[in-house]
Parts: sequence; C-alpha cells; structure tokens
Amino acid sequence: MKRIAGTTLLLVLASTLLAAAVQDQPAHPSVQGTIHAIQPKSGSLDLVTGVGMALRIVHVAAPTTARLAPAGAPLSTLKRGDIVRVQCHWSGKQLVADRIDKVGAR
Amino acid sequence: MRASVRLFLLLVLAASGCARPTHPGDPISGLTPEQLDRFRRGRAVFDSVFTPETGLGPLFNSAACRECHEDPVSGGSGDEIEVHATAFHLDGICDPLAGEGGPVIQQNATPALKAALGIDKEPLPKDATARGLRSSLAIFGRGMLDAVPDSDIASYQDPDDKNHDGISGRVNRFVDGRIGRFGRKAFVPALDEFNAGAFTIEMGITNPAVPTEESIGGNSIPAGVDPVPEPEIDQRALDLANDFVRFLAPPSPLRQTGAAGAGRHLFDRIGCASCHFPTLRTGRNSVRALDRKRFFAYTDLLLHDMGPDLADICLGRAEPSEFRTEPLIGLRLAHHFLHDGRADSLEQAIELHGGEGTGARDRFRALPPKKRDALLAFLKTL
Repeated sequence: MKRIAGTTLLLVLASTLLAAAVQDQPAHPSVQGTIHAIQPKSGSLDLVTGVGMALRIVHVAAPTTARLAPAGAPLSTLKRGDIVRVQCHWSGKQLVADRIDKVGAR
Repeated sequence: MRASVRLFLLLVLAASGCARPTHPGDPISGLTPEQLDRFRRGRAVFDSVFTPETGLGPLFNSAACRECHEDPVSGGSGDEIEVHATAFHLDGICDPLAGEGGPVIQQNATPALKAALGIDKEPLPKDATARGLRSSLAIFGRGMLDAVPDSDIASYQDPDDKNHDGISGRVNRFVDGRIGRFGRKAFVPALDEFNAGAFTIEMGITNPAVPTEESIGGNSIPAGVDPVPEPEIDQRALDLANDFVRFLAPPSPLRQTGAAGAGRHLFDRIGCASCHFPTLRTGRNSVRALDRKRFFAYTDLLLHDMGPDLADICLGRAEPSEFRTEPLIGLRLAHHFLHDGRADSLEQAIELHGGEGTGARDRFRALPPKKRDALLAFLKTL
C-alpha cells in the first residue's frame, strides 16, 4: 500500500514538474545567433547562442516550408558565421524553423 | 575631441571628485536608500562561497565571485589566471567552441566529477587552435561602462583609419549581432548577461538566465554528479549580485599635482588617450545615479590590433591580435597588467604595446626619463 502511495506521489510530482517545464517553454520561440553549421540537404541549422560567456549550440530543423528572408532565397544562401533570427515552433523536443531572417553577415 | 574641451571636462570631473571622492568598494554616489540596500545585500551574494552541496561545479574555476575579485575589497582584482580557448579558421570565422564546452576552460572539478570521470579540470577542446590566459581584474565602474550607449561606442570607430592617426578601432559583436563591450575581447553586450554567464562558467552555478550546466568537452555531465536541481540560484539572488556589480563605483583618481599633473598632459600628448579615452558618458538610465553621468573610464570600449606578440585567441569578430582597450579604472590598485597579467609594472605594460599601440609606445620610449616618470606617476593616480 505504502509503495503504491509513494509511486502515485512520484507520478503526480513528475507530471507537475513536466507541466511546469512545458509552460516555461514559449510555444513560438525566437532564436538569434550565429550559424555554426548548416546542412541545406537535410534541412537543419546549428546556431551558437548564449548568455555572456556561457555559449550553447541550438539545433533547429529547417524544413523546405520555412520562409527565408529575403523571400524565396534557398537555405544554401546562408553560410557559417552569418547571424540569423529564427522564429520556430516546438515539435516534441525539436525546434522547427518557421521563418529565418538573416540579420548580419561575417 | 579638442584638447581644450577634454581638459575642461577633466577639470570639472576632478572638481566634483574632490567634493565626494569614492574609494574602492564604495557604491556610486546618488543611490536611493533602497538601491544602497540592494548593493549591500548583493555584496553578500557576491561573497557567498558555494560548495557542491549548494551547486558548485561540477566544473568550476572558483567557489565564489569574491575569490577572483577580492583585492583590496570585494570587486577588486585577484591572482587567479583563467584559460580560454577558441578556434580561428582560415576563412576568418572564429569558432567559440560552444559545442565542445565553450571558450572558458574550467580549471577545477568537484570530487564527484573526479570520481566519475577521473578528471580534475576541463580538457582543452580538441578543435582549439589557440589558448589564452586571462588575469582576474577589478570590476569597479562596470555599471557605468554598461550604461554608455551603443551609439557612442560605435561613433568612436575608425576601422579604415580615415584620420591617418594609426588607430583604427572597431566594435566587436556578440553571437546575436549586438555590440559587445565586456571581457578582454569586448564580446559580451551587457553587464547582467556577463554576470549570469559568469555564475555558470566560473562556478557552475546555474541560474534563471543560464539554466543549464556547462558540458564537459561537449559531453553531458554524468548522472548523479550534480544533484542540486537547476537553477541553483534564483532570480532574486542573481538580481542582487547584478546590482552589487552595477552599483560599484569607479574609485576616484588621486590628486594629480606635480609630476602626476604633468603626466596627465603627456598621456594625451603622446597618444595614449587616442584609445584610452579619459572620460565616457552614460546615456539615459532608469537609475538616477547612472543617468547621463560623465566618468573617468580611460577606454573607448573598442577592439584594437595590439600586434602579434600579444595575440592569442579570437572571439566574436575579434581576431587573435585584437583586444578591447583596457579601462584604466582603479589602475593604481593593480599588481599585474595586460590581459594575461604578463607585465609586472606599468612601464613593462607600455613597452609591450604593439600594433596600433606602437606609436604611443615609441613616443613614450623617446621621452626623457623625468617625463616618463611623470607619465607613470599620473597612471598611478588612476
């Protein structure tokens, strides 16, 4: 009985924490950073972002449906070192680009 | 700026400095009682010593902010030397090695991490092309530097040396494109971001702004090694620490009479002030004590090529030989000079200036001994 109660309590706690984590994630995040790597064929970007000297790599899927600014430019026009702002949505744990704006170049 | 205008501004500042001199560790003048209270409570966070049980590590450089910023008071300098590493590629791209643990290479590990991986510090990333050492400098007056408008910094640039003075400063930019100003390479745009990042990279203390630990060469931390849940400090503690650093006053320069007074003019005349701008002015600020204040900074917050002998890592747009003009705030309290502390005296530091600093260095060398001593006497008042 005690074991069942303990397990239930753990499950409730875990689901509460998960719900809080999901709530903390904006549904349509915007990521701005420097392109570290780009794979136009597989449609993905690795961006360097961060706070201060604490830098992180953020992986973003960039499907062909993602709009590039200027309009119609292919993903292959972007290159390592470019600075981009990517508007995304979450697909499970994966960030997926909806729109990519090039805001600076090396 | 014309020399007469600059001299006038210096005299005005000196006069105001005589009225209310600030000493190392003092808050900036004009804070409200509530801001002063936050300054004092923030100092307590700054002085807090973390342990693995309160979140330290698993990789870290020090256990407290104060450990590296302690001499002669909290916010002063320290004798710790950091290791940074990045990769500079032939196409001119600088890789800060974010995927391999980032550019700051932590020199300590908690006992749990040692037991799990058998390492006592972060390994140097395999893709690093250069390593740089960084001394722990005093952080007085950083709130004032934070409050200088980006547009002012950008206006000081002369990347193509159009005025033919041999000085061609330019801004650095953060990974998201914003103008940088903090760190030896002027990489970080804002003081609160620098501080939030420092909690994590220096002490392994996650916080609401940086909620994830540093990786170990790009690999995750082994399970069970860092049992304290993220974030390891809350927003309240982070904000207090920010306010302590933001409100730390630049110490007033000492009286510049006799030789030091003559040295002040020489500093301008031989060209030191071409990069080490004596004063900067803050922009509009919600904190009245930081709002539109002129202060002694001795920097232009720009990158300058300092020559191949000082070159180490790239960072952002800063190439290996480019460094931000070091603010000379509280210079009289320093024991070691230049970005890695390699110079043991001011004279040696000047002698090591290369690149865009070559002209001023050569004019310093050409001064008769009495005038060289005057210039050094001036620097020792800052």
